This record gives sequence, C-alpha cells and structure tokens, in this order.
Amino acid sequence: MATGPLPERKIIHVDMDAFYASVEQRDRPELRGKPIVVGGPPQSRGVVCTASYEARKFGVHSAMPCSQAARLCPEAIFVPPDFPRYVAVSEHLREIFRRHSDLIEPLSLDEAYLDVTTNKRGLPSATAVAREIRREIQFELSLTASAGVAPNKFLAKVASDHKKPDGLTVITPSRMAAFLEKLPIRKLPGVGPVTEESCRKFGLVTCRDVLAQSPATLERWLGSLGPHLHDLAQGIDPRPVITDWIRKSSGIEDTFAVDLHTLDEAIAALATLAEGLARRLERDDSRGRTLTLKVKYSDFTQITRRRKLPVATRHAGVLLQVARELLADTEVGRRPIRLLGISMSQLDGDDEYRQLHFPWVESLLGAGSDHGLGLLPRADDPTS
Amino acid sequence: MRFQVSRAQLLDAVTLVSTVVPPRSIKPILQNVRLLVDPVGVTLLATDLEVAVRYRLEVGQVTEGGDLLLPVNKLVGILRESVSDTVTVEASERSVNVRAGKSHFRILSEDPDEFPGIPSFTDEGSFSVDRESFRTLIRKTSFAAAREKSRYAFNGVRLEVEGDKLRMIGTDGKKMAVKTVTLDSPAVVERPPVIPIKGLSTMERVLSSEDPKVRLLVDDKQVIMRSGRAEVATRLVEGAFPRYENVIPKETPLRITIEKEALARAFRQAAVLTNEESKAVRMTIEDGQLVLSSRAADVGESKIEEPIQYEGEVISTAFNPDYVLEGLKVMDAEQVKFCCSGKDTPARIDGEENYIFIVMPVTLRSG
Repeated sequence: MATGPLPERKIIHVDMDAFYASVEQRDRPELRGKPIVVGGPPQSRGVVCTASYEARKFGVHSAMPCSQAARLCPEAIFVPPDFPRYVAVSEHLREIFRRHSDLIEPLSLDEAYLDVTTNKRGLPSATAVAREIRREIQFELSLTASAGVAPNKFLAKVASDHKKPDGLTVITPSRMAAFLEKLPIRKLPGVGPVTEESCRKFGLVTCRDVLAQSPATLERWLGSLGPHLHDLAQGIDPRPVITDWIRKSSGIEDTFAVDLHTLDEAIAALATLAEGLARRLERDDSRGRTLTLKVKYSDFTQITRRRKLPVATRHAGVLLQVARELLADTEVGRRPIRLLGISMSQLDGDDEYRQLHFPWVESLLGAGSDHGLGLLPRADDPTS
Repeated sequence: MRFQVSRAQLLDAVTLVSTVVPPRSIKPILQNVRLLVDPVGVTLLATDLEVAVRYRLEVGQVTEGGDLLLPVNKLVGILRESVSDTVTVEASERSVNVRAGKSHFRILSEDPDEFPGIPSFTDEGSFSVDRESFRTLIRKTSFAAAREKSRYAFNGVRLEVEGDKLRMIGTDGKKMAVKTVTLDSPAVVERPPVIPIKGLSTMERVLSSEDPKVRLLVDDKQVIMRSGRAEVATRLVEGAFPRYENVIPKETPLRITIEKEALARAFRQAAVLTNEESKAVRMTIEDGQLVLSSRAADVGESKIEEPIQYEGEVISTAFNPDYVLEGLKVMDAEQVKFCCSGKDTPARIDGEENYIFIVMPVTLRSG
C-alpha cells in the first residue's frame, strides 16, 4: 500500500494593510499621512469600508457608520470607494500569489490563504515564500501586506494579525503550543463577543484555560462548541485551502531565431513544445480537452486552429499527434513561420481527487515531528 | 559447552526467531542468534531492538551449559543443507563447531555479552486470551494501521482492555478498524499500549498450534506475549493515539444493505478504471440500485449497478476502492450494511459482530 505519511501543511495567510485606504493614498499623494475613510459621505447612513491607520488612531474602524466616524475624527477625509480600481489591484495581487502556489483561497479582494506545502518556485521554506510575496507586493504594487505562516489556516490568520501593519509572523509546529498558550480565545475562529462572555463565566480566557479542561467538561459547559475549542486550542484545524481559481488554459510557444520553412522543421519544433506543455500540465496537475495550435507567419499574420479531444489528457504524444493533424489545415511548409504555439484549454476536465482524513490526523502529525515543515525560526517569531 | 539436538527442530526454531533479524543493521551483532544452553534445553534469542523473539527448545543431550552467538544466516544455511538427523554444537574460545553427519563447520563467534538484553515473560501481571481470538484481533486491525515507518502512533495498533473485553484499534487516518473479543476472565491494563505493526506480525507468526492460549504482559515500555515455546517482546509506539471513538458515526442518514461479496465485486470492477492519481469510485443510488462509477484519465470509465436495499436519504459520495476492499476482505459476514454519514465525513461498514470498520471518502471535482 503506497500511502505516504501526510505532509505537514504550510499555510500562509496574506492580509493587505488597510487595503482600500492604502490604494487611495498610493494613487493620490495628497492623501498620504492623513486620516482617510473610504466609504459613504460623512453625514450619510453609509458605513466605513476601510479607514487608514491615521484614522484608526481616532477609533475609526470598518463597518462603523460614517456619521460616527466623522464625530470621532473630524479631520478625516472621506473618499468614495472605487471598486474597479481595487479589483484591478487585487488581480495583480492574485497574480503574485499564483507565482508561488495554485492552492489559493481568496477571502476577499485583499486577503487570501495560500497552501505552500510545496511552492512553485521551489523556495526553501514557507517563510521564504511569505517574505518573497511581501517583497513583490511592496515592489510591484507599492502597498504593504501582513503575512502569517503556520501549519494550518486558523493559526496562519492569527499570525498575520499578530504584527499589523507590514509584519511577518511565523508559527512553527514546535512553537505552536507556546504561541497558543497565551492566546485569548477571542482570537479563535467562531468565538465572538457572546461566546467569549459565556466562556469567561467558566474561567476560560486563554487557550491554556481551555486545555486545562477535558473535552467532555467543555462539552457539558458549551455544547458541541466545547470539544471544537479544545481542538483549536491545541492548534488542530484541518480545514483545507479551497481554491476557487481554475486555470482556464495552459500554453507554450516559441518564436524562432530563424524562420522555419519546412513541415519537418515545424513538426520537430512542435515535438519540443508538446513535451514542454505536457510537463507544465503535469506540474499543475491538470489535463485539457481542447488543443489550440497557433501559427504566426513571417509577415506577422497569425492563425489558430483548434480541436476538441474525446478525453482530457496531458500525454505529450497525444498533444503532438493532434497538433500535427492541425498543421494540415495551415500553410506551414509553404509559408515561412516565425512562431508556433500550442495550448490546452478546458482544463481539469477530470476529477480532482483528494483522500479525506479523520479530523485528528493533522494534530498527530504536528505532534510527532517538527522537522520537514521548512519553517525557519525567525527573529520576528513571537514565541522565540 | 556442547549439546546435540534434532536438526529439523533446531532449523524450525532458528527460522522462527530469525524473522526479526534485520537484513542489514548498523549493529552487526544483531545478525546473530544467541543460544543460551542449560542442562535441559536451549533458549534461542534474536532481536532488532524493536522486537525480540525468544524460543525454548528441549534438547536430548547437553553435556555442558553455556552461552554463544551464531550468525543467523550461516546457521540456517548449515541446517537447511544438511541431511543429518542430528547436529552437535560445541563452543570453544572464539569459535563454534557445528557437526552435522560427516560435515563439520567452524564459525567465528562474537562475544555473547555484547548482545542486547531481552526481557522475558513473567506470569505475574499477565492475562490470557484465546489464541484464535488473538489472531483474529491482529488480522482484522493491523491492516488498517499505517505501514510507513515513522514515529507516529498510526504505525501501531492500540490494545485496550475493558473488563473482560480485549480490543484492538488500527488506523492510518483514512480508515480504521476496531475489533473486540471476550476474555475468559477480566483483566486490567492501566495504559493502553500502541504495538508496532512489526511486533504484531511477529506475534502472529509465532502463535503456536500447541497452545490454545496466549498470555500477554503489558507494561509502560513493552508488551510481551507468550505462546507455547515462543515469546515475543515488542517495544511500544510512542505518541498519543487519536481519540478514535470520535470518528465512529453513530446515526447515519443512509444505510445500504447488500451482500458482502456483491459489494466487493462491484468495487473491484469499478477499481479497474481508476488510476494512481485518482483512486476513486463514486457511489450513489439511482432508481433504487447502488451505482458505482469510476473514470481514469486517458483510459476510460465504468459504471456498475447492483441491486440493494436501503434506508434513509440518498448520499452521493466516493471512496478509494482499495480501502473499502481491505475492510470487506477481513469481515466475516454474508451481508453488510454500508452506512454513510455524508459526502466528506466517515462511513461505517457493519457486518461482523464486535467489528467496526470506518473509511473516509475522497472528494472529487467533476469536470
């Protein structure tokens, strides 16, 4: 039976700092360093979308009525939201994430989980990935983000919140327990003010308090939430990173240094392309059902030919065969060509497959070993 | 030191203890079998430091007691190739002489004091279980434990005693098997041990047909089993065993009743068109029939229908067919009840009394 041990996961939670407000301040220099509120007009019934850090000092926070924000911070500059612009920035952000992982779970325009148990660039650790993502965001978007690195989603999120703004916090499995011990239960997902209050009645304030009780006791006190809290307090959170992003197509092309003149030259070039595309599909663990051939002639006119396949595939031989057949419908061999490309679309026509595990699996793996996660202890690790 | 013994008996004994001898080891001394010779017999010992086997052989003629080490593969080779009825073993300073008929071997021998100590069984604190019940426990649970060597508790089977019930639990986090048998009399095991798979399979291998009972001695560091002339001591797997009861679904919204063999056949058929990357058989109910289906990229697809009886709501889910089949294989039942709790929550297959088999589904995204 060839079932490997479950790899410990490496999850990054990236959270842009005061996203809408920061985009406004970036694009309108006159707003920099000033308290600004992105949302409705000051006297309206609208609510605050985002407040800049300058405005937050006055107690302004998101979801607060604009009128209240105006009372708390009379100098605040109110800016109407420009969603198309935020969406464009968010798309660029996703683009940065995609360079590192395909397992991305966006929570909103400015926040996402990434599963970087394996990362596309082959960086040595999840911490290195997080650092690089933050650097790219700073460099390409002139914005700052806070990131948390941890073995699961909930801790990654707690970590990203730990040093906001512009911070990076890493919770390694070995430091998880120490980090959790002092963590107020209010920080646990699913614990709001009401739950917090009812927990306080039983003397439960931090995760340490929760762990001091047996799951059975907690169940008696809090119902089904009790054992769940007990799991969270130990850092057990098996929720997977659920990606809603499906690649539309995957392609590869080559512009030749010297134009190709014969059919044989074109076929040889296609063979290389087919192998490359097959490798890429394999790397992305996807298959496609439609193959498109692109030909650019020496006079820069371009044509495409496509064929739908009966089953999804990423077999290099099949890709080459179909591409060759499509060549018959072009002038390749009769006109010089400067570029050839093939791409696969209708990707992931097959099943995406994942064996589920019992909920306690992750905690056991985490408890058993703390090497192999690739998270390096860092100076900014809060538990060091 | 000198003794004479039946060649066949010694060969059986050495073969039995040699199952734990590691093929290669950073400690070469472990490639030996230790022979402790006393006036009435020989005790053979072998270990890989995780599992140890001790076997007692009554000997016709002992001239002199003693203690010696022999390389296990050399000894097996000599005994296997000989046609003599008896062999004579005689130790001198740094070597051992083995005579078998007209053949004579002199083997250099290492110092027996270098060989690791092996705990021995004591009756005190032990309890007894019917041999075949014990064999059943091992067979029906150890397959569900994880095979890979690691230091997680998955790599072993937990043994629990509750009054007169003896229970074993094996799981690799994706499937789980729990079997309970009844003891002749109640016993107490304070801290349920997790026994490594190798220890269990060694125990199963040495179970003696001469002895209808097995005795077990459990402490914090090891479990020692005695069956007939053999003893197996095994170290325990460290690490917390999961709260396994939590994943056993009690009430399930869907219960499918089907002949076990028909279900196994249907899964085996659907498994033909799966591949390593997508080992999944979908399971649903259409028009009152169980429908299993599978699809393998670049290969093809399958659909298998089987008449069933079911109660509850239709749940469409999917499983790794290997896991389901492993459970069905060891289950003694004509009919089974496949109980689904949801698309991504554990399913329970009932059939045999005092046996629980749980399997987690796989999730699929259809294109």
